[in-house]
Amino acid sequence: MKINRLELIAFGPFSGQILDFSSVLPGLHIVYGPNEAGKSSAMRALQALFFGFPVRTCDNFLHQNPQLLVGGSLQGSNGKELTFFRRKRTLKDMFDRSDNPIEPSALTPYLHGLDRNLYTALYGIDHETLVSGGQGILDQQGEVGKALFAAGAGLASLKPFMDELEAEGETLFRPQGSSKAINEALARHKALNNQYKEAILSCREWEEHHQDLEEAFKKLADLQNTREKLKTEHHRFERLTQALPDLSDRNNLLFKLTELGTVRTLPPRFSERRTILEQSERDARLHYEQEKARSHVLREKMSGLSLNRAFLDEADAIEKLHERLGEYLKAGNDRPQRDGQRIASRSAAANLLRQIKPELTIQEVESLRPGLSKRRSVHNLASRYQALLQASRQARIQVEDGEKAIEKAGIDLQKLLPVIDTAMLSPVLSVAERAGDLDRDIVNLGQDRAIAQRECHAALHRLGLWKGPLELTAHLALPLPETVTLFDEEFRVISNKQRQLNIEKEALEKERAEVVEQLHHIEFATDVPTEAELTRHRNRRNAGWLLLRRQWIQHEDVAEESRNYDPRHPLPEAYEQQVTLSDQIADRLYREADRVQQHASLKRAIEKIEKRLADIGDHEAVANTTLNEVSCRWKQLWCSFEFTPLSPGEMRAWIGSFENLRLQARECEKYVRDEALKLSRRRELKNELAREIEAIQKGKSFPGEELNGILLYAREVMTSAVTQQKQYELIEAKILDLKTRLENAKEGLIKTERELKQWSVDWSDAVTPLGLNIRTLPTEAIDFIDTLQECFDKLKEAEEFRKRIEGIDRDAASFETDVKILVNKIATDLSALDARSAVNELKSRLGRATQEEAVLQRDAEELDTLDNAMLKSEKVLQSCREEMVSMLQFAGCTAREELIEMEERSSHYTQLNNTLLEVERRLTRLAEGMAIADFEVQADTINPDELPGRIERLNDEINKLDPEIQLLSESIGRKKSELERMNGSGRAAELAEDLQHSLTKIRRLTERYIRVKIAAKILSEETERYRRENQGPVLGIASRYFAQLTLGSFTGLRTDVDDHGQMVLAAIRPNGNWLQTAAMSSGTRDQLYLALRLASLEWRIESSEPMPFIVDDILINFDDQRSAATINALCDLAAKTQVIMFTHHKKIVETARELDATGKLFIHQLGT
Amino acid sequence: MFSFLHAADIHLDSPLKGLEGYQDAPMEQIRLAARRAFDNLVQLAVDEKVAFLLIAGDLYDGDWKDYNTGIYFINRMGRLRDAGIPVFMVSGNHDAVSQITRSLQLPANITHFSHRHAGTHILDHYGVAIHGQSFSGRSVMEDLVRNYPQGDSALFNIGLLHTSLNGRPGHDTYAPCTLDGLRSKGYNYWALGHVHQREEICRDPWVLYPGNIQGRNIRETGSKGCTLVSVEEGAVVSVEHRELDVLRWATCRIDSARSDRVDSLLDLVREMFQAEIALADGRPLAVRLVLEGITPIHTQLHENRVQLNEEFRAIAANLGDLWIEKVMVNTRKREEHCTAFAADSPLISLIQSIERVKLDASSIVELVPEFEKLRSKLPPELLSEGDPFRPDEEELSTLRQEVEELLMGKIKQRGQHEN
Repeated sequence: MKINRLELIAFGPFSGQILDFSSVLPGLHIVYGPNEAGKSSAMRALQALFFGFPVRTCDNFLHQNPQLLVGGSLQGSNGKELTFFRRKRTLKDMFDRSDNPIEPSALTPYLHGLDRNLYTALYGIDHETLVSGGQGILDQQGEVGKALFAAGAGLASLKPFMDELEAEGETLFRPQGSSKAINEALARHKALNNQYKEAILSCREWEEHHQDLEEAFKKLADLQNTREKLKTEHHRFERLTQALPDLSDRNNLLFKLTELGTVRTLPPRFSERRTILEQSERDARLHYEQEKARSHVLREKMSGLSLNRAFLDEADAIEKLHERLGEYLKAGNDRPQRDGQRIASRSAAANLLRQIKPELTIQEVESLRPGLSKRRSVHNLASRYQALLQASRQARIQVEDGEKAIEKAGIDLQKLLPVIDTAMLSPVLSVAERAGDLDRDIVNLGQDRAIAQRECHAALHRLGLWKGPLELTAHLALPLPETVTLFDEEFRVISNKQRQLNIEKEALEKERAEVVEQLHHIEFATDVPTEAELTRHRNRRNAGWLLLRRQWIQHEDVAEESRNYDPRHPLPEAYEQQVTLSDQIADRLYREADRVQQHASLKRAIEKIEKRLADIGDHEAVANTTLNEVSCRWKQLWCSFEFTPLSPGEMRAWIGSFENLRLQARECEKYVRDEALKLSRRRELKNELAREIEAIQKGKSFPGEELNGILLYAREVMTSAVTQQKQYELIEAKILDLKTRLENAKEGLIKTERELKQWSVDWSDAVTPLGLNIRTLPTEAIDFIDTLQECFDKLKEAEEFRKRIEGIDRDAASFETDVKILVNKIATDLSALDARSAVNELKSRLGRATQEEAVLQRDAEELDTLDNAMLKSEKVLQSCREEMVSMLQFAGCTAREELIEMEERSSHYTQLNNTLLEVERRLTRLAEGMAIADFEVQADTINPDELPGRIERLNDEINKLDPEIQLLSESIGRKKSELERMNGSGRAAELAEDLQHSLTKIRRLTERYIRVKIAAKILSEETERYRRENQGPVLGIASRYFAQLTLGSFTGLRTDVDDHGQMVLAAIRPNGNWLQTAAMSSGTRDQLYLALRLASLEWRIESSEPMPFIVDDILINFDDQRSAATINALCDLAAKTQVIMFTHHKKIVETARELDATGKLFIHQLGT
Repeated sequence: MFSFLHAADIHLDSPLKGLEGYQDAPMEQIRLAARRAFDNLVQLAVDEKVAFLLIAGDLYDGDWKDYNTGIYFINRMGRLRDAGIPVFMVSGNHDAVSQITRSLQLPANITHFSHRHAGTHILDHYGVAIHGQSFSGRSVMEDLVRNYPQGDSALFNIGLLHTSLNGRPGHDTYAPCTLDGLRSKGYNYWALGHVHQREEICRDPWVLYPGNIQGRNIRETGSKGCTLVSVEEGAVVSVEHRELDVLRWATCRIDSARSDRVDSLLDLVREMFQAEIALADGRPLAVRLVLEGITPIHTQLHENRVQLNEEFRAIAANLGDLWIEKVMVNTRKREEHCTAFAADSPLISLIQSIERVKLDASSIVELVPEFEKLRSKLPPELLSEGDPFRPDEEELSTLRQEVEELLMGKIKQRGQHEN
């Protein structure tokens, strides 16, 4: 492939620059651009053209992303040219000159599927790669394999990532290591596993623990039992020790009680009760005496007092008169004021009457009072009058308005258009509308059908092989997939066989070559003596001896035969030589028996290999025959299709595609059917619509097949008909409504007028009694009535004042009479006084009489109390005497002195008895449920002096048991806690989870290790294989380039073996000396790398299509001579493949111009 | 009306497999998942006041020896006893070999059916007959159903059975039987166990696998639990699946074809994770992330795998209790290598050479001398669950692909010189 044009239409700093690389020879094209001219942009543009724009680009500073555009023209090895353009897009970014999209696969014949990275690696070089390539050769210590591989793969050096792989492998695992990732994980796994095993509780372990614990519990119970028994005994002895003194006390008390004999025991507090009784008797007597004296004094005082009883009897009358005195005085003051008020009211009434009826006097006014009864009627009629007037006016206006509105509506009705009848059109239209948008459906179906048909034809075309018409696809009988699979299997078997044979054959040939080489090695090292040779020389020696013997012993003339035997030496000498030679061969045969043996076996091996090769040849022939036979049957299977079938695998895919095609064809037919159906439906609907429209509106025509036009028109007709009908109905309803309203208004008017007449009659009835005529206005009548009413009110007021003055006078006379009567009754001495003073004096005399009465009352009450108290004291004395008699009877005594002695005996007896009870209570407690008598018997059986000793011994025994029990309890506690630890804990399960985590980790690391190690191994094997296969030719070409690049400082390259036995590169000086890479200058090493790269490229051209080689400013560090030499070398390469060199350096351009390379070297300037 | 619970394949204390601990992984949240799921079962039985609980085999994991597991089980059964709930169980293939089964003294509320003959237990109060037979050993190849008694038509008959029926993919064939065989017994409900995926085999009569109560590895994805069955007047009126699992397993397959940048891929992953979290209803999740499809970022994905794994883990940590079990990059690049062209280029032949890596006697140990040394150090349980040195054809293909990406990725990283 070569690049003919690169168009920088809108990219980086460029707008429309074109680089024309077309030339007869591929040629070396130097693209020169000073700094900022866009050399790097141009290189990126080339990459963008080949492989598309990257997601982020730095070349959008002048043209925005959507505007970026590069184009170019590529020419393939077959001479075909492809011109295309690229935009910055994720998909479909390739176009032709007319802006039609191009499939990415169109580039495949030119770029052969190389991606950006691979292309850059294989067909690109820059200064950085060159320098690191030179350094790489040094790093790899000039190892041939790595150097060739790196140059071949377009890499600077293999070493870094071989090291990286090695290092990663090392960090993962080392058989003897411990700190490596896998080693560590394994160690952790082991530790976890141990913990896990410890955490596991086996069933047996649990059962053992369980049994152990139960036994310990049993032993503990036994010990505790024994201890309890000892403790009981110990306790019994202690009780006895305590009980002995009490037992002796008891005996003493019992004796004393017996001595005392029978005693009548008195109740407790008997003595106390007697003393209290005597005291109460004394107190009662004293009280009686005191009360008697006081009673006497009071009786004497009361007999000396007298009372004014008459005053006290009239006390109520005096109090009432005293109260009435206040009112009497007040009424006397009020009387003149009330009289004044009466006169004022009467004159006000006279004034009011004058306002309305001047002709009447105040005494005649009563004649008007009956008229006032009509007052409410007058008010009602007056308010009704206004309402009636208003209603009458309103009714008249309504009647007039109604008549006018009816007239206007009639005119509107006449103006309306006649209504269209759409009864027939409506159903047809709704059917058509329900059918959907047929026009669009038909267009869509048509398009879909066309596309489907086009796709079908395209698919048929793409399918290849079979060229029949599309319609036939449905009927073609394809071979069954199973048949194809059978053939496939057969072909596969045969080809496997062939491949096997081939592999074996290659292996045998290789083996033969190796054996032959070994044979040659043995043969060429020195000639190998053979048995045959020895026999031959011995025979010759024997012949010589026969001749010599014949000459020497038989004296025959053997001159002629001697010459024949050895023309150059006389016979004895010849014989001697022959003897020596035979001996030597024999010696060597003996000495070199091994080599001889090896030689012979190698020969045999070759024969064996040859035989096997012949066998393989036979097998191959058989395989070929079978293949031909199967091929024939295969072709026959397809003979009805009239094409030559491809392999069964491909044909299976073809059948698959063909089946798809059938499906597509069926789809296509469906479209055609649907379309026809819709078309006929549309025609039918259109005709029906047209017929109905014609009925309504004659002469209307609808050209064309579309339904939408006529549908639209029908819809309009329907809409306008409906609108008209609606308006018509609206106006008719309105007129009906207006008429009803007019009738109502007329009725209202008549009713109002009737009511007005009735009102006049009523009014006359109402105002006549008031002395007014019918013409009096309602307001005037109301005023008249109000004033008249006020006049009557004033008159009523004057009357009331008069009545009150009369009342005052009557009350005063009654009061004075009452006073006089009382004075005459109880105090005649006061009859000379006026009513007021007499009442006051009566009141003060009554006060005094009341006070005296109160004193007398109090003394009488005290006397009553004293009489009661005396009665009480007498009763107390009586009861004391009676109780004393009963106490004496109880004690069985006759006198009080006897009673006291009796009390003392009883008390002594009770005391002794109580002490005995106390002692017995203690003993009962100590006996702990045993009868005291039994307890006493027990105490009697024991010698009290032995008791402390026995108690001591029991104590010792108990104390010995205690630690034993303690130890056992502790052990049980431990066992229990151990069993509790076996509480269904999830510890082991958790550890099992941890183990799973650790296993997962180990697996992950191991898998990584496997990958890293396999990668390293493959890389190193591939390096070696590449060297083996390409070393000869590539090194040959590289030698030439290296000599050229180094201006003859070196004549070529060869391989050498270093101290470690590695094959390394060496350069040959003109004088034949070798120089290893470590000894080269860095510049020379750079040139060595370049030579290897160019050689790899040239070598690749032998087998693959040449591709443009992109060189980016590699001559920066080269001097002028070497630059010229390099450009020359590139020119040489450019005869076979296109080379495009980008540079910033004018000097290089000048150097190139000086070279004689017309037709091979082209210079392009950027930024002009 | 009464209800009962049907559970199976509890595998108490069997650990979750295939997870590797890392920082931010929700390790503590999913500790002892099988136990916690079992606790949920017990709680559900108490809450629902069920008449009884059925366990259709594989209560323990066969080679699990820790007696603590048995003690734990007895403890939980005590709760059911206190709540008045009896338990009926048969041994499955795992229980039959478990030492715990042999040593454990079961409380009175548990009925464990014999392995010698099929037994029947009648609950008069509910009018229920439960028939069952345990496994006698690891492998029972006879049809146990034949021994089961004919159903009593006056009762509601339940058959408790550990079986693979007539074969279930991914499960060993044990106690094989047929649906017709089950039907012929005239039972109302067949409570089966052994298959870890819930499956309703038949509705007349009801034949059902409730699945296991907790997924244990990435092959056991989705909701796990037991089945709550309600019975009224001798007929099943409802059958409900109840979730019990405390950790959900899920596989997220991401089609990377839509992503032309790693950022957008991360967004897709985040969305997918969120969707899975929503499905898991608040449970912690263990997720396998599988990236697929033809994508322009194929090479980037392979070159930055370590960094990407960290990114995915960060997303998981931000979203909450989400554990990334494994990330598989199964993407392909847009253009395939043009192997026919430049066949003599070392890079192309390198790829071809990787493709030639094959198994020698089903092992790759021979390839590199260190492999044998490493393999001999690996724990036996790791080798028995998929020897990394004996990959199958599919794993080998993945291996080749990863070796290729490893080599080509490294080489290309060095081959790139952008100006």
